Amino acid sequence: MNRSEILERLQKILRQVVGDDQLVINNNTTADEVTGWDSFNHINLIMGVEMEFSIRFNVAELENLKNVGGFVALIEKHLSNKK
Amino acid sequence: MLFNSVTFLVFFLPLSLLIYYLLGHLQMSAAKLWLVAVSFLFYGWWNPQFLILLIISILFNYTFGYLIQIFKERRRISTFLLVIGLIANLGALFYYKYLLTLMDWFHFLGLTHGQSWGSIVLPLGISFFTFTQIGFLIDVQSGNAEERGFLEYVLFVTFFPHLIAGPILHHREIMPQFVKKETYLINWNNVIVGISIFILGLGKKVLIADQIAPVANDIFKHTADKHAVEAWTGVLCYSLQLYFDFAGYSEMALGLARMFNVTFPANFDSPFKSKSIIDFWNRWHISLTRYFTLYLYNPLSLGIMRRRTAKGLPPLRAGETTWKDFFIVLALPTSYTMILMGIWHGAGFQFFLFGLLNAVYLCVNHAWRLFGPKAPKIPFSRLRSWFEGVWRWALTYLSVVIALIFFRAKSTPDAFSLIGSLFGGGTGDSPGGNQGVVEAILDYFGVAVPYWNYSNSLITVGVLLIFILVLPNVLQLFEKEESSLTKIRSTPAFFSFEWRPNILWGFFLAVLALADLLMVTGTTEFLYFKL
Repeated sequence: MNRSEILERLQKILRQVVGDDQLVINNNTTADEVTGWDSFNHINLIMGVEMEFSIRFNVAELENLKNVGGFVALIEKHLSNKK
Repeated sequence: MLFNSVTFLVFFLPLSLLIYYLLGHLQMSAAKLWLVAVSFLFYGWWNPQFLILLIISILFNYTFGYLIQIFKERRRISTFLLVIGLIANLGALFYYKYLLTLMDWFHFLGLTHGQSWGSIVLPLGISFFTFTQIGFLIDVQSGNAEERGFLEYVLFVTFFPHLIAGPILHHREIMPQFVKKETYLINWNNVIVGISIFILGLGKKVLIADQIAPVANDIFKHTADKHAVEAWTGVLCYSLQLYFDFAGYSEMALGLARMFNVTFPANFDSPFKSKSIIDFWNRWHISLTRYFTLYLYNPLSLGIMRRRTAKGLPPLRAGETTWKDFFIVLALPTSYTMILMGIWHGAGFQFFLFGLLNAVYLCVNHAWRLFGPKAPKIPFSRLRSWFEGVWRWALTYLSVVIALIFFRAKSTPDAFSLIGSLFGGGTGDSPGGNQGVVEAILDYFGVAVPYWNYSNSLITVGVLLIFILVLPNVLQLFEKEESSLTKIRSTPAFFSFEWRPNILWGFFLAVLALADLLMVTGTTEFLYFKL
């Protein structure tokens, strides 16, 4: 799976989590820019991503995420580790 | 030593800066050592005996960080070391901060008899340096911090701009700055930016917070039986006193660090502009919220979520959440985190209530998002959304003002009696104080209105709130200079402008600095120093 596919699926999950069907994100988007992406929905999003991609993060990895691009890279890393 | 004392401003700061850069150009490690030395001096100025505690704490945590790193591959040993480290840190904090209060409680409940327990003096900044180091140990164990040498570690903990009252730093954001060579070489731009931010912060402290403090102090001295006008004036003034005191302190810290080529995370991003409580906690004491979210809320919340998912339950979504889910997945970790946050601020039961009340606010806010009416597809008219904004702002601000009563009150009964007064519970005597402007004018026309002698204070509150609402904050003023490590959340202010290194700003800041210096007494402590 390449990065743009990951981003697309991430966007789909985020739309469900924050309840905004029109939401568009890119690699530079940060949580602050998306209405409703608060600490609680962040956890929701992580769970959604873990289920969607069948991967599992550890808490420490999630601390350093700066933007959507960083999240996509982290998902990619987990997917490649899985293989 | 206080940032707002003459000793600090006239001797300590200029000398430590000058020698820092002189040494920095000769030998980097000499400059580091100097910075550590002045930081110890800064801390020891109050009470030299607490230096011993600080040094023990540093040696202990550095050793444990080192050991945890060595046993990184052997999870069980490193976790065991981490637990021992946490128990020791929290134990020390408990002893100095909570033991006496707890013993008084037991005594009050009749569980203990006999003599009083003597006194334990709270070492300055213990809550801050303990938390900084607990964060470090957790980071080492989870692979988010790497040991970088003892001197750098001591500098990370003791660097005087943050030692006493934060911002609470993460090892990973500060250490890279301390190992860079450029940090020890003079950069005039950073010095000028640092001084400018510092002057603005000092102004907030001495020209605003200290000036409205007496009104706030008065009301909390005798909370019972106040007239509603008097009570409201007092609590509104207190909210602004605390705001300007802590914002001022945090900006001074930001500015001081910048003079030494170090960039800190921010603590304040116009919290009184917030239109929801969730938003407020992301803008007020940001480094503390960040800390509690990272080390308490996230692990707990993620743990609960994982258990749900293991049972095959879906994540929570707006519109398809039950109240039971809400309580388990959201209200539980939120309350737990906020109550601990409250107690971190102090030992009395009122701090527990401060945390609990904020937990309730946050849960209501989240519940409204999940269960409340959906935002309409067609946006509101401009007028309607403006009113909506005002209403949300006012509700948020007033909720904060009420919560802060528990933060400031000497005891829980005091807090409740003051809240009683706010809603007309007290009769109050004829209030003292000077004749206010409005009263004077009304008096002139022969109209006597009781309680208008508070009008001066109320006008001050109004003016300060308008200032906060329409002017850019320090992060925005210095956005181009990257004044902090924190991303700015505030939208551009109504009157939007930026700091520039030009004559106009130079003149303004020089005048402000002069005013600051004239008002500096060095006798008023910062409110957050008591933590």
